[in-house]
Amino acid sequence: MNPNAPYDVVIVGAGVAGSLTACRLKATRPDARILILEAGNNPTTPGERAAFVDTYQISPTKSVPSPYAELPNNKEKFAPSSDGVPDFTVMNQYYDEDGKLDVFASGFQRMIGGSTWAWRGNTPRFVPNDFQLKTKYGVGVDWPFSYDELEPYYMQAENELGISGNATEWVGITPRSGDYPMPGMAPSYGDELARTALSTIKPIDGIPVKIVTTPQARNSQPYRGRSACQGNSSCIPVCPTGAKYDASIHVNKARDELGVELRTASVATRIVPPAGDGQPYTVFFRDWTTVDHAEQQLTAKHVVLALNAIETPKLWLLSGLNNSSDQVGRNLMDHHSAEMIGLFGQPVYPFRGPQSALGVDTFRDGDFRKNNGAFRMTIGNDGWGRSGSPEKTLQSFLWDDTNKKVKLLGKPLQQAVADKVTRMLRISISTEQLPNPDNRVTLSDKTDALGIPHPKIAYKLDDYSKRALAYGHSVTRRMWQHLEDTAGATRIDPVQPTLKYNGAGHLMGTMRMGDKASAVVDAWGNSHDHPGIWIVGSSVFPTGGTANPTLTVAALTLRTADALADALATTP
Amino acid sequence: MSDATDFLALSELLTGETGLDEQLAEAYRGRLSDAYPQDLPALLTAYRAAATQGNPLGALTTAVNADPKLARVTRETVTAWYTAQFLKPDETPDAPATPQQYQSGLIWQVIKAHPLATAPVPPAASGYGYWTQHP
Repeated sequence: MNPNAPYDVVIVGAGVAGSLTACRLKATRPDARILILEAGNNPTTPGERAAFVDTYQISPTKSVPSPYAELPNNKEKFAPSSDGVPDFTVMNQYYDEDGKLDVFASGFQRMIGGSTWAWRGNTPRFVPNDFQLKTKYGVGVDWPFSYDELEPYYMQAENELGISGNATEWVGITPRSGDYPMPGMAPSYGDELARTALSTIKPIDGIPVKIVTTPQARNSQPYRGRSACQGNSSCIPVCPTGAKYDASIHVNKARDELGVELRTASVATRIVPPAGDGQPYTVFFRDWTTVDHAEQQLTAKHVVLALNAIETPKLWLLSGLNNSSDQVGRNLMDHHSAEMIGLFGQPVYPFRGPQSALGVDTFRDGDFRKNNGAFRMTIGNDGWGRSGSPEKTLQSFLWDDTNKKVKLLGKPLQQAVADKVTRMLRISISTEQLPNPDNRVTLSDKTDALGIPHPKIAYKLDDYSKRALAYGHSVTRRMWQHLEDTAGATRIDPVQPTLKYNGAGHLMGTMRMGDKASAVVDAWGNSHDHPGIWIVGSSVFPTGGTANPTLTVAALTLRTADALADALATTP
Repeated sequence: MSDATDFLALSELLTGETGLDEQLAEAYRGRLSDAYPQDLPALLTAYRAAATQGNPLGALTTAVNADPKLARVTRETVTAWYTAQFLKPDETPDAPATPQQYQSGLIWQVIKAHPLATAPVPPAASGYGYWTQHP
């Protein structure tokens, strides 16, 4: 084969979408010449995983990016990740946010395997009405296809990622044509106490508070050469065993088993469309391991953009590609999370096992969506989550900051810390946001170490999203009231809705699918303006629903890869 | 007695634990001495005086709370043993020197959990599903 011949497919990005695309294409078209271009260059060996754990444990902050902060693409700012810290004074300044609007509070990891290194692994499906929000509730937009059309791909995605779940618990929420590949993750000792206490709660606003086992990309038994979960309680930011799925699994499979080329440390800088019929696309990139970081190029008949919802529009805009719908970079969405914390009436012993196993998924749909966003709920197994760590509790009993004196020492200090931390429980919500064309990604004047512009973000919560936070608080407060009444719960906080939120790390929108007039890609992820460019990832979501997006990303990716495989068959 | 011996005894008094690891104590004494070069020796002096009293912990608490600098280094000594990390005088963190120090933090045994990213191993209850049981 002529090494200078165009690749059949160049995939930009070695995350879950890019690596699944490569594996699916190779399975369907074994002769296709495929390259994955990736900005990071982290090894994906067990030794590197252990090194990430070490880095995390000696990190002073234990933040989400802490295991990966020392990677040269981050440290030297060749291809910076975003920490997503919702504070203008400490965030890593990758996003150029002007501070006048709301904060886009979610980050991402640029590395082989992408942000799946640092996700919790929760994989609920979208609910059927998420695909027809406009038709059912008069808000947002419809997707260009239905839940039923995606369902077979959900099944395939669940097998690829390796999902643990109990299908019978999901009857009436998300229809299924088959079982999960593994039984649901075992809930913790404390989870069962909370579930028992909430088993007697009456429906709230007519909606049953049904607690279900959250489907997770985490092995509840050995699966495809990986062990069952060992319960390290560090799903975010790093799984020490690999029992939790991350996309390095499919990257390694593509490279080592299927013959897909992988070029790392290479940051795509622009895509140039063909000069004429029958000509290939040109992909320009800079390899940050070279001395001069000079721009290089290669050609491909098809280009797949498998970046996240920030980096995909950034690359599109950098390239000056056509934008006939004017939707490139627009409709940026996230899920907004908030937690209500309290002390359970007896110890629940958090920080043992997965960070969460149970949730409430009955408030993800209903007529209320005409007025406000829906929400998912999670029962945490990690104490007070982001609201208060064991270390903070230690300080509260040890130190009187007003008078600069020590308070408790010795066994009394131990007993006070133990009594409080072992009873810590959180119930979190993750709320729906509507697409808004004014929430958008453009290019900043600020640049990284390769001279590539940072993304500039304009972002504002609409009233629909704020009402979702308020309604989520109301429902959660009533659940906690039941725990106060029946299980001795105390110290509930906050008792009033604050509308404060964290990002869920669920970057969505910005390259949405739909018809040519109002969307960037068609229902198969194929660009309306450039037929050789395909987009996979959560950037193509027209609406965000309430489900953690990765499973839907995987399902859509397999669907797009099948369409691309068909296109390859007809590409000269 | 040496500073090393007295720091170990001081640490056991402050944490309420017995049998603290001597090497770990030396590591923490070194890190705390670097951050608090005057205050840590002063705390050891206060400890030696308190150790002769009928209620050493009570006497030491009274003594250190009479001096904000002593109170502060007392706080940081306890924090180091619990979390392998403490705050330096400028409020920046002195991070765990090694993963092993992090894993040795007393806070995990106090709350009957395990250090994050370090799941229990046999003979402790371990492996898939250990978390379903009372610790």
